[in-house]
Amino acid sequence: MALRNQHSSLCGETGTALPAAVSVALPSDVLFEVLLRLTAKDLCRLRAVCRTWSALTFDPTFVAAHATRHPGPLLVGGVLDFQSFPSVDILLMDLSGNVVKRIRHAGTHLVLPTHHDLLCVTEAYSCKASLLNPVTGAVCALPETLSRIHARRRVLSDFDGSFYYGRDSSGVCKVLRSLTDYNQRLEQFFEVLTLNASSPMQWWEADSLPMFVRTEPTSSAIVKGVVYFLLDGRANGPNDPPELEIDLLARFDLKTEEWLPFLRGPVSCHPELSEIDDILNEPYVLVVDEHLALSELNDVLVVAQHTGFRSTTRDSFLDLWYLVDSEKCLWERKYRFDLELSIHEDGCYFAKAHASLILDDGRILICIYVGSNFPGQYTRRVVRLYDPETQTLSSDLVDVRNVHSIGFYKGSLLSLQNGGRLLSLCP
Amino acid sequence: MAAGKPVVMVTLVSSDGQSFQLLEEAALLSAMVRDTIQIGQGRGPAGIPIRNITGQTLSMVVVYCNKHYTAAAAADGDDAADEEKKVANKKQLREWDEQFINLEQDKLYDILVAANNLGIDGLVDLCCWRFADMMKGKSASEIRVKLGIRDDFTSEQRAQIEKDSPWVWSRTT
Repeated sequence: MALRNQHSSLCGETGTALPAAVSVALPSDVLFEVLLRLTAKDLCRLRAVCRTWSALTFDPTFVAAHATRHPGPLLVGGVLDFQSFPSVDILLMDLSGNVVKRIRHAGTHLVLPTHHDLLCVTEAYSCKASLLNPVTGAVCALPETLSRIHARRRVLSDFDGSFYYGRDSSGVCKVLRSLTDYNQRLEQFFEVLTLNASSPMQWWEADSLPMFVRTEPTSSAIVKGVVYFLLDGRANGPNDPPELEIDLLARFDLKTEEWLPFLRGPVSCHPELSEIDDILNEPYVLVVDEHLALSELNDVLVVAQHTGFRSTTRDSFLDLWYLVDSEKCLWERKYRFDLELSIHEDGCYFAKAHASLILDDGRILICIYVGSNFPGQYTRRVVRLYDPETQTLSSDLVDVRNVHSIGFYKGSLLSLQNGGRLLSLCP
Repeated sequence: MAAGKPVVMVTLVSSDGQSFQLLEEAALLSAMVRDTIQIGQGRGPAGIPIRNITGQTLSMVVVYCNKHYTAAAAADGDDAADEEKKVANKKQLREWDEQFINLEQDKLYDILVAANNLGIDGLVDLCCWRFADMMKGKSASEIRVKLGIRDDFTSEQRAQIEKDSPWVWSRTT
């Protein structure tokens, strides 16, 4: 840290230091260093001190330096507010669970587990979704219309919508959505929307698949411009359900807006590694839950395979499968670790777990969803860190009962540019 | 440290004429002293004049340099394999630092500016942490009072700030 070019006393220059007061006009380079050590939460408040401080903390050099010094993504949690229903508070928390920022958002929205410049929030059992800028709180609602071709024979209210926001391989921001009719005709459509300045936002139809994709947030992931889906096992339309492996993956290329050939998953590629009898060294009489979840870790598709037992004596564990070569369909099981279920409680079982995010130091954020057997009780979201080097799992970072959905935000809370430009494109 | 090494002292002279003698190696924590000695100056009896820094502040800086030089020399002499001891020493030094820098704002400010002018990275870092610590959780107006800064936003700018970050003003965060 070489701070040699001093003496340009910042507050002094602009004449803001009161001569009568203690006159602590820090040299600009020193002020830079001091403010660098404050959290984004403090800085956003202290921007309002004076023009100099405001200019400094908006400066791209400062924002970049601050991001380097305070790495680590923020957890984004949605908390329903029952007092002023329907409305949701979106909380941005650091990895210790401290709330850095709170954004009030209308509607009973869920935060998707993405970690881009913008947050995608969506509403369950409807087709409402918005993109939200966590820095400014600005919201852009996605159009609630059907694409022209689909609109000829269906109406939007027939469907449940699920949304996938990401960038295609050339960097263009797009939203893919699946529209699923579970009630009347068992049909699933896909539509794409491009965020750009030259044309108004509009949904365009994409091809359908012969079978349903799973639509819960942990069953899809976007890696290098391709959306991966787990399949649901049901046929799309009136056909017979197809015979398929549980871990077959559908792939949608956001750039060409077309489906790629299906990809075989790790479990069917490596049946020898998934034999439950090899894992249990004595015959257990247990109900075994197997659950798959998709995520993107450092541009690699990762399938988290959770093996859980409905028992308080046997710990459930997680396998992380990495797609090391998508051309040759090569999967590698990099990690297997117990989930250390010391927090087992009456009436609770571990529903699912997935790897959410990899940190700069290589540690992996693991989200664990603790389901409840009691009707009406929330699923708990527990977040832990797995350190591959020491092969240890941290204790709970965040354990929030009332957070009903969790996502991540990797951008800086200081920069207004971040995602702001995109939102300004929206009508 | 080699035992046979000759002991070289340097003298630092504050702006109000006070002299402080310390081991050259301790003084070399300062980039400014390092540069001065490198060009062959400062070793004479007149010492190195330190402009803009009073004796009161300089004495504190000298205490810091001596402490950190002694700690570094002791760490060099230690058995390299004794990790536990190293960690304990480091912790001790950190506690000493914390106590050393637990100053009120005016003094802290003087030392920070002095450390910056002298180019003592460790001390600058320490002061910056302490300053940042004092600002934590404070509102903008509290900081203005504390540091004697005038609110110089125009009403349009203030409206813009409120528009950009409405949550900055909300009580809930």
